[in-house]
Amino acid sequence: MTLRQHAIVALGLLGVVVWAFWSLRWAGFVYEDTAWQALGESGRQTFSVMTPRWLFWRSWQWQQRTGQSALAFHLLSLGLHLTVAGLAGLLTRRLGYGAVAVWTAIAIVALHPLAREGAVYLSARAELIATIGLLLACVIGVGRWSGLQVLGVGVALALGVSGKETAAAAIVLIPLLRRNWMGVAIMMGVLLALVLPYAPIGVTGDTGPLTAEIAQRWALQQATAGARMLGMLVNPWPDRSSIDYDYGHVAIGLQLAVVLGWAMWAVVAWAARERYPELTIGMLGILVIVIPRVIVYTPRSWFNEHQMYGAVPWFALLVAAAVDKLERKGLTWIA
Amino acid sequence: MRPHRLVIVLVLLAYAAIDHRGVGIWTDNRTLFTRASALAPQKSRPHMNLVKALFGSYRQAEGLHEYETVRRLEDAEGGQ
Repeated sequence: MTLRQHAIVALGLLGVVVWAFWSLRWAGFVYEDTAWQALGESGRQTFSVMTPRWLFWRSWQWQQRTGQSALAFHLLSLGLHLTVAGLAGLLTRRLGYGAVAVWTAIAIVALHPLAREGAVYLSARAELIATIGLLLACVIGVGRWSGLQVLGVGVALALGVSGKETAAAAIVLIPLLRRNWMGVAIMMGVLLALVLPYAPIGVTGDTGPLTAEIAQRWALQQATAGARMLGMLVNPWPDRSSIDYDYGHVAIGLQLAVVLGWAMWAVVAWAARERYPELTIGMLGILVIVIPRVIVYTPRSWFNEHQMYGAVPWFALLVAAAVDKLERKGLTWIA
Repeated sequence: MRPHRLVIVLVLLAYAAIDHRGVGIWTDNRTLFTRASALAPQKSRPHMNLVKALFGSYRQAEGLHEYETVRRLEDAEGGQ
């Protein structure tokens, strides 16, 4: 593609993004946003780098001090979302794919309906920051190792984790992108060791309004929620997105079937690693984002769309790989 | 245009159309929880959040009506 063609595609995509998110002009603060607002207004709360998610807090507090405009908040979140899309494109390029595949990845992340909640729900900004750090670490981590590269990965990881702890998934995703399968297995074990202390085992009685019964079925229901969103990732039409689902009425048999489905997903992804490594990278990338959310107990909500935000770039990478193969085959309407 | 490129463009435009409609749901609490309640009619929490949103936008009559739904659902949830 020429520079002029790149510019046309970029402007066209930007126009479509502006149209897609046009309603943000009238959007205010919703749901849990008001809790962050109250905290910012108090002015007393200070956040050190040791405070969990301090960059998210800081960004909120800083923006609140410079004005109360909801539009400004939304524009910053949308800007972060487009940064994620850009980084997904950069990662696609670093993996050696052509221009059409790169633009496909960028556009999928920018426009996919499953990424929408992360982009428009202001309280989900932590997820955007985490995904920026995670993808930046991956972009730096796919090349040849050097001291500077290790430092870069560390800084990017720190940036991501300061938004939300989910960025720690990069420790598995970097060896995955490097096709270091032994490294993937080892780092997956490390990631599980990091998240297992947050599983609802023996500590849920006084952590929130969810009943002990729900806590017992936590992993099953979280896996079910993840499967629902995997369906939305592959086919987001018709749009069934919501801020609050009802997983309490899903039959236990179906929940067990879903867990079996996730296990099969993992087996297929792993089995394909030598012959179709692109498939493995996309499928395991999604799984690595999902697994910690199935384990970590959050007393107030089920796994929801903005927490699935980090899986969208891995889906985009999967589609980009397929597009790149088609581009290289040179398919046309006339066989 | 190559066939797969056309498919990509069409899918992306469909994504954009879904977003264009879906972003509007996030403009205020009333719209957000009206939809959440519609998609989870047997769960009390989205209905309760809708009650708060209705009272917050001075729609007391609708809020009271919705609160009856919340009470009914909470009774049912408590009895499970």
